[in-house]
Amino acid sequence: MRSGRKTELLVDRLPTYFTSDQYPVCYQLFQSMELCETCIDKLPIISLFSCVQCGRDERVGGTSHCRDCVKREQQVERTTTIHNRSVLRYEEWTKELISQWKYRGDERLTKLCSTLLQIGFIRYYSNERFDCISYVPMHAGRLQERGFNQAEVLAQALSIKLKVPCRPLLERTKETTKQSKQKGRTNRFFSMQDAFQLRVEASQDFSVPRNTWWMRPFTKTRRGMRILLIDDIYTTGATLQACADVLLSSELWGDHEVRSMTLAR
Amino acid sequence: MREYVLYVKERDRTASAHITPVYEVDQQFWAEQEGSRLHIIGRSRSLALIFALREKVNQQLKDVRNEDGLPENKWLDKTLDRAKKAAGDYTKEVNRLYVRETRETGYGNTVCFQMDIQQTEKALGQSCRDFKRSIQEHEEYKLESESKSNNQLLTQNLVDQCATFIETHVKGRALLLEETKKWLEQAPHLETGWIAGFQRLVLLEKAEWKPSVRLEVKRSAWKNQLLFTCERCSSQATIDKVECYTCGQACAYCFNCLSMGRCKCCVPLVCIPNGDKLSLSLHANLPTRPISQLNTLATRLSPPATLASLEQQEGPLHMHAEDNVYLRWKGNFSPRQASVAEQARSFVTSVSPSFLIWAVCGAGKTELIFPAMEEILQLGGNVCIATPRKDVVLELAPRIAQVFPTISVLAIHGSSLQKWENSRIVISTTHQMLRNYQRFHLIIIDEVDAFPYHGDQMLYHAVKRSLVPGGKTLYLSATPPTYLQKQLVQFGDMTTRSGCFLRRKTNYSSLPLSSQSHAILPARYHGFPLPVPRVERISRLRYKLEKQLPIPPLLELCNDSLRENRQIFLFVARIEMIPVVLTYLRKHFPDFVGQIEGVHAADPEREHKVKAFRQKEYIMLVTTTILERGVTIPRSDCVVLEAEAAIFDEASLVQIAGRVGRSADSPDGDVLFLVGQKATAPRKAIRQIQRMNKLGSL
Ligand SMILES: [Zn+2]
Ligand SMILES: [Zn+2]
Ligand SMILES: [Zn+2]
Ligand SMILES: [Zn+2]
Repeated sequence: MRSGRKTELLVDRLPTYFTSDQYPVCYQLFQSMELCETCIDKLPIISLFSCVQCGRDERVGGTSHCRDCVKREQQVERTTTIHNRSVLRYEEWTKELISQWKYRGDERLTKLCSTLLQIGFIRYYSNERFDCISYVPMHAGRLQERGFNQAEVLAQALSIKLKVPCRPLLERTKETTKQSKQKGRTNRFFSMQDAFQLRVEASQDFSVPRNTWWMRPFTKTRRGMRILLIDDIYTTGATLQACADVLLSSELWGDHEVRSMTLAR
Repeated sequence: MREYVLYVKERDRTASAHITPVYEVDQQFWAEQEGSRLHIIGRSRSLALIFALREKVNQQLKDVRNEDGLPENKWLDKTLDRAKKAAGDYTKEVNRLYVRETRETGYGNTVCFQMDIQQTEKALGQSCRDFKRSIQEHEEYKLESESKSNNQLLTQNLVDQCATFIETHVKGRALLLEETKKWLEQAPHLETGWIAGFQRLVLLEKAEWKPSVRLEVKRSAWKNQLLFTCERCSSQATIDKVECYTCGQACAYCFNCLSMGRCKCCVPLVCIPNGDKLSLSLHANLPTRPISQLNTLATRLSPPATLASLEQQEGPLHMHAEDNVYLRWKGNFSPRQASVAEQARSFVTSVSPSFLIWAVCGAGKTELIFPAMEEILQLGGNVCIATPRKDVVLELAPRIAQVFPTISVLAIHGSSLQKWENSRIVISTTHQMLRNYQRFHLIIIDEVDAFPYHGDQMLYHAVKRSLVPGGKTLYLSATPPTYLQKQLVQFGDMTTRSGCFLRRKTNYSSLPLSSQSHAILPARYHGFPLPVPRVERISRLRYKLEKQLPIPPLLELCNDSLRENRQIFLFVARIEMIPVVLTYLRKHFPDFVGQIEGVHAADPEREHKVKAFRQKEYIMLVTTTILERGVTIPRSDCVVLEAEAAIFDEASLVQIAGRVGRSADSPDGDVLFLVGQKATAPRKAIRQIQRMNKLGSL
């Protein structure tokens, strides 16, 4: 009886978010998630009318961009933003999920979160081909304190599901203050500017993938690489942008393209 | 990253294995004791592994000890070799099992535990060097002008200082190491030596530490398995194996007690017992206080007349009792209450470890514990009142603080800021008891039967650990669970005959009013008997409710109550039933549509609605079991719909029936259990109430 209610809700809600060819797979994935009816009902999935640039669930009338992106376009000194997509709106439900998972350290939720991310991938990037998945690194000190890097865990789970190699291309050199404690957007962009750098071993990461007979081998024949950056939350985009900048400015593999996907926006 | 060193201490051909985070402290400590020599076995970052290894190595050492006839050198070499081999083999075995068990979840990428077995004596652990450096830096900063010749001495001093600080401030707790750092804010200069000071206490055997998740290999004929146990909540089924960046290797954490911080294989759980001793032994069989004094206490408490004049007597009382009197309570006991309270008080100084006060709903059971609390406080002990629910903690704290005005009362629950303070009276939720270690001399457990106490092993474990050795537990309940009854109530015997054999059996139907380990208070404070519920069986009850067909017993009761201007509680089994019952009532009582309301646990207006019901704004309140305790309405009746549902067990139904007739001016009231199917719980509940009434009328 209970699963019947869940099915009912899914059948009712999902067609508004997914196209007919995505729907069957996503339906299966939603069914496999350990979510109760109330949660399915509350699930703040980002609607179809989201910003084409940053993935925010908001569009300023007549355009296909959100308020921030429109504002950025109008500025004299134009700053670039990474092309981002997210799965859930950063609302009460998502906040609770992420705080339980990330701050309390309930790693059982990893499975749920990675399935959500996989659904996001099917929804937004199923037609695109990525050569590599990477993630936003954590500072060594904080990583030790917390015990796991939520972005890495997500990226690895996605990598296994998509059969695309996941590589730690970046490392964090500067411990930035907690994002929520910083004032203002520009401040945040500045403080992020040189927080990341390319790992020394990054070039070797692509030589031969370890124990991955099922992964697509990376070939250098293509001119540039397409990299998918993973993070848990997109707040202002400063972190992801800083990471993308580092990747783009590196001349290791020619012209890259960097996209990002986060769990919440 | 913290590293732990496993070493063997050897003296006069006896050897034992020890673990330390700061090898230097151990070196100094054992240097004070003549003839001890230390040999490092190995280092690891995983506390769980190294503790398991210590056990293994100690086993090995026990075997070696008995082999005589070898020269000193050879004996030592052989011992160390054995120890190292045992450690290496065990690590391998653990890793083999760990990899096997995580192969599926890790998609082939598995990590394992790491243990560096030391091959030579020379290389010291990383931790030791770090410690040395940090202490030196600290001292340089502090004593730039002074000479550094006495550096060694100062280091020792600092460690001792830390040890004393920890001993005095953090006693009686079982905390994760991160949590203990809360105290560092009070004493910032101690930071460098914090762990060293703690290790010093461990060596002095004044503290203990464990990995917060323990590891062992469970052997069986079929297959060996890794067994992880959470040291804090003692659960084994709720451990998740993960790769951890804190220790950089295989790890496991407990998700059962996650809300209090993560227990992991690499996080130490620090246990510091409370060293406070009672001024008089708890185990003394004889009355520990002079009879005259005991009598004063008793008379002061029991007859209402003396109590009324307590204030005038205060002068002489103080002169008489040279020790402080903590209890300043101006109420009075009924003769029955007085006798139960006195029994509870004498239990505190008796030999029995636990005692049950079985007081019916509305008997005023909180007051009964005052004399027992007073007794333990006078002996110099600490008291804790543990209760499952936060709102009870908040309600109880001011009441207790009022009657013990000279002692600060701590209210401890999840979001309380007083969590880290210390006091002699603590009122805590049962969950927070997990953070205590041998801290209290008396623990009073209120509402043993209530969620989540009922059958929850974790909380019993917590309570047991919070008691000092030989401490006492006092259970307080209106409906004690069966296992507690069997354990504490001394039922009478009876002789039964089976075939040609005569057999003595426990007679559960003969319930004595009191014994060595229990006391029953069968009547309410106003002396009237408890209202006995009626059971009515209605066929197709759910259908009738949904289709709004008349249910005569229900409608009759409601009509009677409305006529007499009484309020009605209606209990349902599930939240989904609330709207159904609301429409039903609103249809049958159209005149009172605005005065019928429903409330459930997740209702945002819950408190407001309950308050409005108290103020008689509503006449009928439909609710789930959340209101089965606590809420008392003077003139009210009570209906349980679908009383056969599993959620209504015997205890819960007795509690619900206990809502009715609690005030002295209207001691009666109607309680109706409507059942759709045959059920035993309602009958059992009625039997229990009748039994209490019978005892009360004696
Ligand atoms: Zn849910
Ligand atoms: Zn945008
Ligand atoms: Zn636990
Ligand atoms: Zn760990």
